Amino acid sequence: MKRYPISALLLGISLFAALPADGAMRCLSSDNPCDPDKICSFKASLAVKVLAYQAFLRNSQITKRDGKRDGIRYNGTLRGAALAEALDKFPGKDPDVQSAEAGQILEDKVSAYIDEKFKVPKCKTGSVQYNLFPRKGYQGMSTDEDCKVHVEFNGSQVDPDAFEASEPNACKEFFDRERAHEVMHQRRCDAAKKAGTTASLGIDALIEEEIRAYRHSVLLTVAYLRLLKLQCSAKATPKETRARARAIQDMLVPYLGKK
Amino acid sequence: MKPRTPALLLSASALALSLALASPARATTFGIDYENRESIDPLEGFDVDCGGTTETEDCPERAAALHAELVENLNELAWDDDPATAALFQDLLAASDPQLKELALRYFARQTPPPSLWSQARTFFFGPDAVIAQPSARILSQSSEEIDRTLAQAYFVTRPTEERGEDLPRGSGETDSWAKAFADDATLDEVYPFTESERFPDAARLLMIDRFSRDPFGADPLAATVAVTGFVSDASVDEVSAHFTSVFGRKPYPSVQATRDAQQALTDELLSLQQRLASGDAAAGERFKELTAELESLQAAQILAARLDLEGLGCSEHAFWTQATLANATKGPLQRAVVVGTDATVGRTVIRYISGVASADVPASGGSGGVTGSGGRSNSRGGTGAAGAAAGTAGAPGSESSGCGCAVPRSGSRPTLLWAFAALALAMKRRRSHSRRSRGW
Repeated sequence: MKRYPISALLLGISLFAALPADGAMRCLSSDNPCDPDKICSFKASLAVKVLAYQAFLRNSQITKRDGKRDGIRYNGTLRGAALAEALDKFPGKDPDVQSAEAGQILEDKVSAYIDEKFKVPKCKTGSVQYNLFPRKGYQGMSTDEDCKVHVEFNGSQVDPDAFEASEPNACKEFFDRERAHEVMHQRRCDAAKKAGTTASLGIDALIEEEIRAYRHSVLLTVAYLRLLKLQCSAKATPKETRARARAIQDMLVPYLGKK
Repeated sequence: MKPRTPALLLSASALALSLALASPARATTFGIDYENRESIDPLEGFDVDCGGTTETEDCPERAAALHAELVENLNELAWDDDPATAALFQDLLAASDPQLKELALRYFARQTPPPSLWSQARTFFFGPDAVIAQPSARILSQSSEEIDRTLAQAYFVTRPTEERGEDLPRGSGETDSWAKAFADDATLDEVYPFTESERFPDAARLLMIDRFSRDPFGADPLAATVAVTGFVSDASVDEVSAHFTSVFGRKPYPSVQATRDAQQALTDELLSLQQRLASGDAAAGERFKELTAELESLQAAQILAARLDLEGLGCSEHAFWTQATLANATKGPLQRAVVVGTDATVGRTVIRYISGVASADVPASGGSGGVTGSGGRSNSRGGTGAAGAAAGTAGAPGSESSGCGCAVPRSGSRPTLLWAFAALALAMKRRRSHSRRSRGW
């Protein structure tokens, strides 16, 4: 069995020391032992974020123009359906308004698409722990036209801090990640307001903004996983991991390279 | 037990209040119910179902799941220095997916990069993707070649490793440094005050000169909030200048350095006029008026350049265009601007778009607004060639900066405009006293 070099372990320890220690439970806290269930839960969460990221990428007009983007082939089914629905619901409205409405409809469609298509990836060890995630009814976060962030809960909008306080057992990292995602929407919204332009985005600008924001969500989840796995370094089996990575790469790269 | 009840009550009231104040959503993350879902190994049967010319319907979702797992596995191997792992990461550098590329670059940034990586790192460094360019800059910073290290240092000014390249962002949630960095990248990429047709067409992004500059006359003079977006082009400075002269409807303002040189020339001439003025030379008086006008013109260019923080941006030898006029140079929102010149590091023409507002009250083209439009001012008679050129009306002012490097401001203390005015005041005082004496005779 090959172990991680001591520098990696020291880096891990220093990173954990840097983690803020506040009230809510942190799944990356330093006193946590290697926890396969937690790793499996974060792994599932990563898969959801990649699925969302690629869904927006697939519907991007830049992907359409280039044929492919980041290995993802264009498929504008969701965008097309959102536009058609917006035209149907808001006939005769200004095209910019219709486009902004289409963007909102697209968000719902991507959410429904993920809900329909997502399958939990099997874990080597451990299983997804539902209590680490926000409770049922949590539908994510959103940024409104006043640049204010809300939690979407059972069809209503809730203050994020209040919601988080009411979820003491869920991993705070999931909330942090969503809040950070919304920061990107919020920043652009604030800048638009400051410049005196409309905070509403047309469907294509919204897609591009989501691509960037979901890329962040993916990166951050990957970082969380990296830290969780550092705690399992004594049990690590790089040879096995490498073999699996190579197997995936050998199938995925040709698939992404297809026209 | 005691503290929990009030906190929950507070949460409940806050929940109720926020429900009442809810506004329509506009951009969203999605919550998902993980319970009662099918569990799969996305690799199982993937080659059969998705590897051929026909694919099953669920291939995109299975590919996404594979991607997630690959990223996860690669992370687990991030510190593994086995040659087989290095080979795995090396292969990923050719992947079309930027996340896989980024992981591979991060891996090599942690250890001695293989010789074949240098040229790849340079390619990614000069690409448009800041997330990939960051680890590339980290790799270049380890290069034995000084030019690579210089490029990396320039990149880190706006995108420092401690905010972007570490293994975890600084802060969390609303203070997540990666989120801020991504938002900054979006702002820089947008170049929102300039339409596609207004931007120079044959140019590529040059991330290493992206900056956020300060507006000394803005609402918060200490905050670096003005996006300065960099591009590079193979076109000559003259070609690029011709484009922006057309966009702004005016010739460029002279560079900060050209303005300084011109001020020096004017000051020298003012000093030389003193004797003639003192002796009541009428021609000297005329010339004196011309010099005063030229000084005003230079002062305006200097104020506009100062507001754009051109010296802070390290391009004091580059010409610029701005929609600002002297009237609004120090008040109101910062106006959009463009700075053009040759960058010494990359040896090509660089363009900086300064994202101020695109003011509606300034003519989009054809106007002679600003201080460089009054052609007569530089119609100097001998000895003021530099001043005339700096005033932007003689010949093609944009060509002044050809061949100049984007340099750090000179440390030498050339006479400033203040000194020029002091000299002017001195000369006038002497002239007045001389006149009085003449009348007495």
